[in-house]
Amino acid sequence: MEFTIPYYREAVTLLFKADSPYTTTADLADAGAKVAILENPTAESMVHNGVPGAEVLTFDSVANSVLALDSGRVDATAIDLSTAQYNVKLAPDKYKMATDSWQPQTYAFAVAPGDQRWLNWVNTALHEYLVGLDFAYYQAAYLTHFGVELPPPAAGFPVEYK
Amino acid sequence: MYDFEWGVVFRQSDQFLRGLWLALQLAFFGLAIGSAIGLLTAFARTSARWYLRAPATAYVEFIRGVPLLLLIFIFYFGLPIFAYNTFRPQIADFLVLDGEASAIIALSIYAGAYLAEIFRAGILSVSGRYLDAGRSLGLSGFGLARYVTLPIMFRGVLPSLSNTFISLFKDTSLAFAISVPELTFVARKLNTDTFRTIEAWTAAGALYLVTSYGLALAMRAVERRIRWTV
Repeated sequence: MEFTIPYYREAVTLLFKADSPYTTTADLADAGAKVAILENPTAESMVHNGVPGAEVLTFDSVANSVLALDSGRVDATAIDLSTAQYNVKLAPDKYKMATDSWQPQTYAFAVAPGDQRWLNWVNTALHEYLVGLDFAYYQAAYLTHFGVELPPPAAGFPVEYK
Repeated sequence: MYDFEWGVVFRQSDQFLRGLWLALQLAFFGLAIGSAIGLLTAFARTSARWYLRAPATAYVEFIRGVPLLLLIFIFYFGLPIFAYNTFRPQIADFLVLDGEASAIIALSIYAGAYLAEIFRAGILSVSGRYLDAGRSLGLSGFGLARYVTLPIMFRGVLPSLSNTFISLFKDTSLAFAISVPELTFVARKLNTDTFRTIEAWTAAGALYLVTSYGLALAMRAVERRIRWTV
């Protein structure tokens, strides 16, 4: 397969209860904290990269890993930054997220190999969506789901080469 | 073509065995506590007093109609939310159980409902002759239950009890959902980590099968030892 240009930068962060004494990942490091996470091939190391020494509890769905936080089973849930933002946006009285995140990674679409015209078309569409005419749509979606208002892209000198 | 790679299973053999041992412990405590609940419920169900009969019947019908996974979620996720919203933190801390204990309580309450019906059938099958004989010796109430009904009933229900134990042993697999590292949790983890689906589940399946068969043989030996015909 081949990949398009990136459309998002995901990372792992911690979701806390709104009244939690913690604010950053460092607050939980080597403090005997329990951290929930969705089961995945690198669950343990993913948590330990951000919160060394934490006890890791894995769950078979993101919803249950958040439920573990709701029920006080864990001190924090390690979760995708976007999902954390979405949860905080939905219930700001209930959750807050760590001020930092770790393991940033690039999200792009995969397309079938060998069709450069199709790849160019998707890249152009994504590009316009991120910094072009369709930016308002991306900005609105970002605000709706993540509760974050993106600054509009600058005119003049191309943003890609700044 | 799928290339088997059994090494991943053997490298995790200690994890599998620990998972199996934990599953057996969950099933054992589930059966023990469930039997106590089942026995009390069965006597309540067969009581002449409606205020004993009614809650016992409600318990059996409710639990039999609810999936075990839901009970596990209720005790693991639901109970702490309820406890911390309702009681002072010190009392709530006392009420909230860890993953293993939550699984045991859920299994006990689940098994208790089924065992209650098994024990009830056992109680009803005890011939009136024996009860009359007991009464003629001056027994009544608890004494009659303890020395006449229970011993006779126990022999009759033992095969069903074996069945429940084996069933419960396999039901412990649902504890994976609350991060209890029993056998299914270990298999899922290996599957997730290595993508060795067939190897992971074959190993877990074989361990469940062999252990269930071993339990069946052991229980059959017990049944033979105390066989007794009425």
